[in-house]
Amino acid sequence: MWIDYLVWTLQNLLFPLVIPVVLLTGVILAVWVERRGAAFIQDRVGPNRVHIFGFRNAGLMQPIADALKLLVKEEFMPEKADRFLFFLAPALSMIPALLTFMVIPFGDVLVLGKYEIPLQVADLNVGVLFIFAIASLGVFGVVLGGWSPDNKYSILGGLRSSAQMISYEISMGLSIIGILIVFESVRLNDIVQMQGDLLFGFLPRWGIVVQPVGFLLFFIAALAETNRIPFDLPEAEAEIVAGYHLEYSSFKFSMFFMAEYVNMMVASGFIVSLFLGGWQIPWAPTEMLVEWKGPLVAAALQVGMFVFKLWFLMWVFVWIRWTLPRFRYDQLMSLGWRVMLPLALANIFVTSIVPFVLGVY
Amino acid sequence: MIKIKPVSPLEGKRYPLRERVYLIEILKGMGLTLKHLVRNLATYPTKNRTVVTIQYPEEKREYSPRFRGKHRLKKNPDGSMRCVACKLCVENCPSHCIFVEPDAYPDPSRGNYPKRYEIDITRCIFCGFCVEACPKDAIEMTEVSEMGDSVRAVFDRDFLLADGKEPAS
Amino acid sequence: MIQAIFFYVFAASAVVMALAVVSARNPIYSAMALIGCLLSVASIFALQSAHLMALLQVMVYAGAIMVLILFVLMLLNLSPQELGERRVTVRRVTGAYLIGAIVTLLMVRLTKHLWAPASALDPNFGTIEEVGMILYTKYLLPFEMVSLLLLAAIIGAVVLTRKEKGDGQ
Repeated sequence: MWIDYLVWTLQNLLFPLVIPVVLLTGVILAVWVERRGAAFIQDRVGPNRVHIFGFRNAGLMQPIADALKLLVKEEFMPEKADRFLFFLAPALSMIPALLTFMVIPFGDVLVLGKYEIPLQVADLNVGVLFIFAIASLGVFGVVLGGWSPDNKYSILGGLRSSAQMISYEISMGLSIIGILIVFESVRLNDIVQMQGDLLFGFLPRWGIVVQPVGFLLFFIAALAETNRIPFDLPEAEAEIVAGYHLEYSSFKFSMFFMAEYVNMMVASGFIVSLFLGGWQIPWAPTEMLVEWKGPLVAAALQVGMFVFKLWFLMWVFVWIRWTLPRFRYDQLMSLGWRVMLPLALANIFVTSIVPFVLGVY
Repeated sequence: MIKIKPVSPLEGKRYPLRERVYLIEILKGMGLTLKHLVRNLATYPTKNRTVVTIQYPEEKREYSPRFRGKHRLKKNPDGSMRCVACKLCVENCPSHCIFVEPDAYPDPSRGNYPKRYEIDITRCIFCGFCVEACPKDAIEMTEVSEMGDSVRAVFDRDFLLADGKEPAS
Repeated sequence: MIQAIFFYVFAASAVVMALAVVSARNPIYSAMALIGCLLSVASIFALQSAHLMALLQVMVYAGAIMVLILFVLMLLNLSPQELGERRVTVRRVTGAYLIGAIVTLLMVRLTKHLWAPASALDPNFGTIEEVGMILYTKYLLPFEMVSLLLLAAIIGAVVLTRKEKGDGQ
């Protein structure tokens, strides 16, 4: 049956191909949100000049122009650079960023007649771990990008980055164990499904409601892992000029640049799935939506909800960036090891004790 | 003998707990940035905007009348140059960007005039010393600040003369 | 069939990467090859439906430990002179001979089981639930002993790096 092939193609070829494209297109939007948001926060106007045939669109053309500019710029390679690793590093930071989004569900399983299309590229039974595993590989791009050009500022950026990533990965991993205990699964879609329940009959059982401390810790760790302000020490322009991407230009720089924004989107999608109910529309479970307008509308609404939540978090990232200054290095380390780690451990402890005290088991 | 107790730099200056937790302070800061954002978004397309940006080529900043911009050589009411090529401006120029080549008028009673008067605008620091030094009040600085050009780096006599309004006196 | 193809691809890449680890001149390249080797082995784990093992391999070894190794290598930043010359010594020849012997022996022993019929796997095989169940029932004692050992190592590291009061001043 040709429709079988169509469904198979959709799941196994279209989703894995389309999602990176969507993410990279999202980068354009993210850059626009960042620049215009920054401008409006600082009482400025932001980019508003670039246009195509007078079509300015509030500066939305600017990121496209930037991308084109980066593509045609001169490729610069420092004389003493390690050529192979210099080429490899941007790719190594880009690939994990795109891969991690593959396990994040952006809608409930779409049931069309006898076909069930999961709105997710891969429904792994170890989805949460997959994200952690692949995301932990992203640091190599930064580290090698710092080492390979043989520049002292770059190497400082690379060193800072590796130390920072390791420190915050621990708090990050520990902070979601509470969520895993509460939802009793590591499959992302299960976790999202369970967040459709209601607590006390009215409160959505979102991760942020049952695990507020876990959410806070995870959010801070996610900021650190994506090298966002206030944790952007690897690229601190004031001290180490631009850190690991100092010697990069043209397309290779834009790879690092895009990887940062894709990482932000992955982090947002992950936080949404774990703590903000994923594609769940509060008080409107899938069955209700399907009954109301049919499965396609239901799926569209859920995907829309997921996208909305994701972009809300992206906005929070931007908002924080233009509010806070950068941490000092010792503050970063002391926050990671002396505040976040004990808090994460305490959170796990309390989360495991509470069900026994309340007599849930 | 007074014994001085060593004081650690932090002692007595600890921030209150509310500020040391930092999260509340972060939220306050984010509230402030949100306030600005909302205000700017609310007035976004309208004219009474709260943004401070000057949209440069269309809008221009009002300069003070004492602004030292591009130089201008003044003329006498009869149209002749005021400059007598005394080279005091050349002597006073701290960046040595003025070059004057004097020449005599055919009529000896009229004295000298500058055959060449050139200012290397790429070296000029716009200090205004040439204006101060001029005994004939022949050079002044206008409010023109846009001197960008892809060919002309040295402003010659005729360019300096031609530009701008007729002298007031 | 397609699994077999992927298996051979990853197996070959694991072997090539492992050879690159020992033969690369630059320690950073060795570390990168080791990461590649670990990833290939993780892929093989995943092909054998041991997803948890695969991801733990990537997360712990490739993601965390190799970052530390790279960190140290970058701090040392050995120059080619410091690395010494490449020469053949008795020790190296003996080592190569021994490795060859072990590999041959293993090949001979393992090929006996190569064509054994594969038994059907439990669908739960390799899931977190299954691995956790085994770890916390059948192998509880060894598991806890290992965790004690790790705890001792952590405490040891803290004690070693802790500064005594007044130390280093």
